[in-house]
Amino acid sequence: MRRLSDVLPELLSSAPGKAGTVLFGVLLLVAAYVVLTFPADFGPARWSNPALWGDYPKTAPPVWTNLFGANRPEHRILEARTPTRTDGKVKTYVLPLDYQASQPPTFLSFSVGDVTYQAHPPTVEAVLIRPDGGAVRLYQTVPGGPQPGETPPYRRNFQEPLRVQLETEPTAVEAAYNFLSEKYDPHLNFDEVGRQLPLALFGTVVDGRFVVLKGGYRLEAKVRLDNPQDSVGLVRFVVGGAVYGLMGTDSQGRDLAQGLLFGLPIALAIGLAVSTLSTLLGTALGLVSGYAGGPTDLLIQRAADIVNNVPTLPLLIFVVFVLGAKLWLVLLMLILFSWPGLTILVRSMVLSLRSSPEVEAARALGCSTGRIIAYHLFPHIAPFIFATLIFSAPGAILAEAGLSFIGLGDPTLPTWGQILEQGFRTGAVFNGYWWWIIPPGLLIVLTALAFMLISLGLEPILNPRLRRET
Amino acid sequence: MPLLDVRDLVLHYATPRGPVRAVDGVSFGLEAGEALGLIGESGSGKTSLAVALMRTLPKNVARYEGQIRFQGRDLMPLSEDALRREVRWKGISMVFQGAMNAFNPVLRVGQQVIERMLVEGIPRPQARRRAEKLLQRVGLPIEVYDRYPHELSGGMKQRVVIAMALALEPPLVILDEPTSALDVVVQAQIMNLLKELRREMGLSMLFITHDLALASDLCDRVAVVYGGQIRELGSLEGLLERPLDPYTQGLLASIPRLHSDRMPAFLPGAPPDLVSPPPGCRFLPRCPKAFARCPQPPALVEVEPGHLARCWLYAGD
Amino acid sequence: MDILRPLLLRAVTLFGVLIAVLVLLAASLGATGFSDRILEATVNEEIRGLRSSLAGSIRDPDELERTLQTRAAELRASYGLDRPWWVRIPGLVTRVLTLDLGDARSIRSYSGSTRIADIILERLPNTILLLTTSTILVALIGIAAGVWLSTRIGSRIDRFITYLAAISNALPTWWLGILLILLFTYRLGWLPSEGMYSVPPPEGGWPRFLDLLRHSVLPVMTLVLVSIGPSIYSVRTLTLNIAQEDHVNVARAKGMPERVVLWRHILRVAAPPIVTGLILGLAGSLGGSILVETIFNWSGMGRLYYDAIAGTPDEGLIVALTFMFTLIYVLARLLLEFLYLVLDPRVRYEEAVGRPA
Repeated sequence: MRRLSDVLPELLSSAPGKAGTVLFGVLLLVAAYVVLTFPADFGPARWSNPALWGDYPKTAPPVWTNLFGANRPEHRILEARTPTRTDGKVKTYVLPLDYQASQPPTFLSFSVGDVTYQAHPPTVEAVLIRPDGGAVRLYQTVPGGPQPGETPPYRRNFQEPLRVQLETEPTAVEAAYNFLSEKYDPHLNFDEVGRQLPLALFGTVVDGRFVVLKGGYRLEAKVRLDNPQDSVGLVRFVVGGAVYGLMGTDSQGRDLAQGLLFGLPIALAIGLAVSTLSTLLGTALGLVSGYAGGPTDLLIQRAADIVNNVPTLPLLIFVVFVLGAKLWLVLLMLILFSWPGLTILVRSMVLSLRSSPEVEAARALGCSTGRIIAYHLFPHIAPFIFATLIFSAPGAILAEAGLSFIGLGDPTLPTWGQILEQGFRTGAVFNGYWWWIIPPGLLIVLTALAFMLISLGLEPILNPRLRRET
Repeated sequence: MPLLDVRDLVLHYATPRGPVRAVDGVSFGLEAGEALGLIGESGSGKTSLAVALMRTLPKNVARYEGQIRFQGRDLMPLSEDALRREVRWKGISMVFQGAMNAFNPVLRVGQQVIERMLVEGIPRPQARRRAEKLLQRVGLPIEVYDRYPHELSGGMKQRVVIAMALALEPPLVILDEPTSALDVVVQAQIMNLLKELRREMGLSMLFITHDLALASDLCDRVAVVYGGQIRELGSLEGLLERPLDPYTQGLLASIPRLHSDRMPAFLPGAPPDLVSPPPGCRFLPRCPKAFARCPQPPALVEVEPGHLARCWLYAGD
Repeated sequence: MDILRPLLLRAVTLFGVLIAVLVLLAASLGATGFSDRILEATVNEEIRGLRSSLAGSIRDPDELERTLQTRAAELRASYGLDRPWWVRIPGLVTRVLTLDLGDARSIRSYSGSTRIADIILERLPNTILLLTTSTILVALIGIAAGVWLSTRIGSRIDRFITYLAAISNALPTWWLGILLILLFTYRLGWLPSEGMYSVPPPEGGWPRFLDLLRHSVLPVMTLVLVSIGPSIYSVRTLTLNIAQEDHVNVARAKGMPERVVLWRHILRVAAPPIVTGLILGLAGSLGGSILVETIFNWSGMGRLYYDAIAGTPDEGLIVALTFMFTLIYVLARLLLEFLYLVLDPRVRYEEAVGRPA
């Protein structure tokens, strides 16, 4: 019989065991980083808050896909919180942009926020300065005036900036048409400009067709303040990209990298919590059942027999459906369904150990039952239990993911299964949005694989018969 | 011409540590109707000798050579298929160590007794009649034929194993520790059965055991095996009364005797590791009579007529 | 052969499982008030019918209302609606058993029926088809490849299968299905990813069958791929262990031909634990088929689960499905247990490959 202290050398002596340990270590580090840097309410407050993702491109593939072909524009969010220059009452916020993509932006938006004024609201004007020297006035706005009963200073758009989608903005269409027809092509079709405004703004006209103009652009937001104490604390210009970030975005514009990162600690927690608790439960019941015997034994074995023979997934679906999609409930059910196998095994091990010379001697020496279990039974089965613990973790991760995939995931916590489910439900497979489909599954596999590799390294403990083959 | 004549038989197994010299140059002869005992401690290579004779080799064989003449025919050049059809069970059958595991657990016992007869083309009803006769001959009721192995006791299984070995009435039966897992009473019954069978059927027997007393009950001649080699070979009386080899002497001295004040002596040390045996005499590290020539490997020489020993004490010059 | 007693013992356990699930289902139907809603709907239906038939004979509207209310109270009492739900559990169990669970909310059967029983029974064969095809394939391939592999222990392919088996345990069935769709449907364009038949389905028996075959390739492949590694691995290990047992050596020493040794003394002995492996994998394949049906829009009971959860959740369907899946499981188990008992005269369980389930 091996002791628990033999487990680690055993594990590190095999290639899969080593690989699994390293992989598991990396995953743990990343998970720790996520736990430390992400807000605890990431799920409801950020991931599931569509307002936060409005300025992101929808279903954009990752940036690095540009390495394999088209030079699609990256997503740019330009922000300024203090003015670049001041000319009397006019403060100008300058947002420079070097545009080198060969395709036009997918959308353009402009936002103003954190506005404070004493009497009259400021006027805000957005002008796009192009590399060819053109200055196109995109938009002009005035934050809301004072409400009856309100007292100064008036504060506007602190929670949610005043946002406008520019590619449908008439002012911008007209300004772009005026500029382009004057400079490049007098026969320019006005409607054409309206239809392809981002291209018109970031392009020139050659032979009656728009062509992207690469070079240094500049958005200038001119803010006319009525009072020296008035201020505008946020100016944002978003140049919608066709690619985004390391992992791309989903159909709501959510940054998949964030969701996927946040899913890691959850997946690890699910795997470890379920396997630890069910292993504890299974071991405890097995020890009691094997050592106590009699009616207790019979009761536990009958119960184990029945629970062990239940088709898990249908029942899991049913219970979660009836009692609500809460993660703790899913975990509880997984624990309640997964103890019997171990209980039956531990019981049979205890039965054979109970009549061993060691235990008989301990009993003859007058050791208490508790002491015999703790010092003469448990150490013998501990390595096996540890191996089982690791082996059962992937099952829990996969079960939760499967449940999420059917649509029974806990909506307050974005898990990998849910990300995949949303992709599947909204036709990501059909549309070929592979960056939305492949990474979550791959991460599930990777996490489960870390556990599986470790348990492959522990195989000789789980299955001593295999040692015979050479 | 002896029934079985073995010359320089070698069987080495490959292991990660190196070749295990389980059988390392064994030579002996066996006359028709004779019973030869092969005696050795566990790990001495005596079971491997049976494996080598039957050529039921495991996969990790590193070296397998020598000469095995059976009924005047050299078995070594025979193809696997010819050996299987013409020699196994028909010429040489075997009673295995540990009858508990000698049976296929999901087949009826009778089926396992007759399956080799069926391969010979004997019709099933006839095979069954013969099997039932054999079962009766080894002292079992006919009903055993339709039992499953797990329904039989150890002693009954051992009897079936013997009946099975006699299925094709082979001239030679190898008995590999046929009684080692049995109670003393059952062991005595089985030994008596073997003696009866030998007398009645004129069988030749190669009796492999660690128990000198058992061997002396059944055998005419005895060979002592140590470290994959035969150390001493002679008639039963000769070997028991005038053991030549220090190992045989030690072995005999270690048997407790009734009505004797002498304490049983024991051999200090352990049998040699067959991966790296001592280069000279394999018994050297444990030998009380070792002297200057012992680091050279001794040969098996005839010391007295029909009595051979592998020891420098008797090498002459 | 005394096979009845052990079979009965196993049947009792499985029957216990069925009863436990039934009671759970009945209790939650009652506790969530769903059964009340079904019964109320039935009562209202009858009252509506009564109202229109009585409208001719009873002129006074007040009297009509009174008569109807009395009748409604009678009906409620007869349905047990005046008693708390736990008293009605036996009745509820019967309802679940007979799939008498009223109408589905929005899902219809292909023949247009709204009755839950009709919908489920129409889908049952499709689920069975998928499940049995893949299970049989996994068993056959597993046995053939496992035996072959047991003669090549330690080779490169052996190590590959060992790792494949480990990775399979970390591979979500449904994700594998999606990958196969991405590859075979959208990249290569070889195979359909959806449904059981093309739209519109081809005419005639033979083309229709071929169409079904084409549509079943990906779902079956998914189910087979995800469990083939462990299946091969377990057969390989079993065969290997048995091949090392003494009786195999005895058979060889007896001079039995190698073919007989393999079939009669190795495979025949390995058969019971192989069946045990199938038994242990059954729950997993059932769960896998639910998810695979969802992915491939295979109109079986698994896809129905997904449809009943999405949109307006349909309790009746979910209860019926959970019961039906439990029933399928219990019946399949009994079949396999019977097979096991026939195969193993020792009538005892052996641990299949030593892995805890």
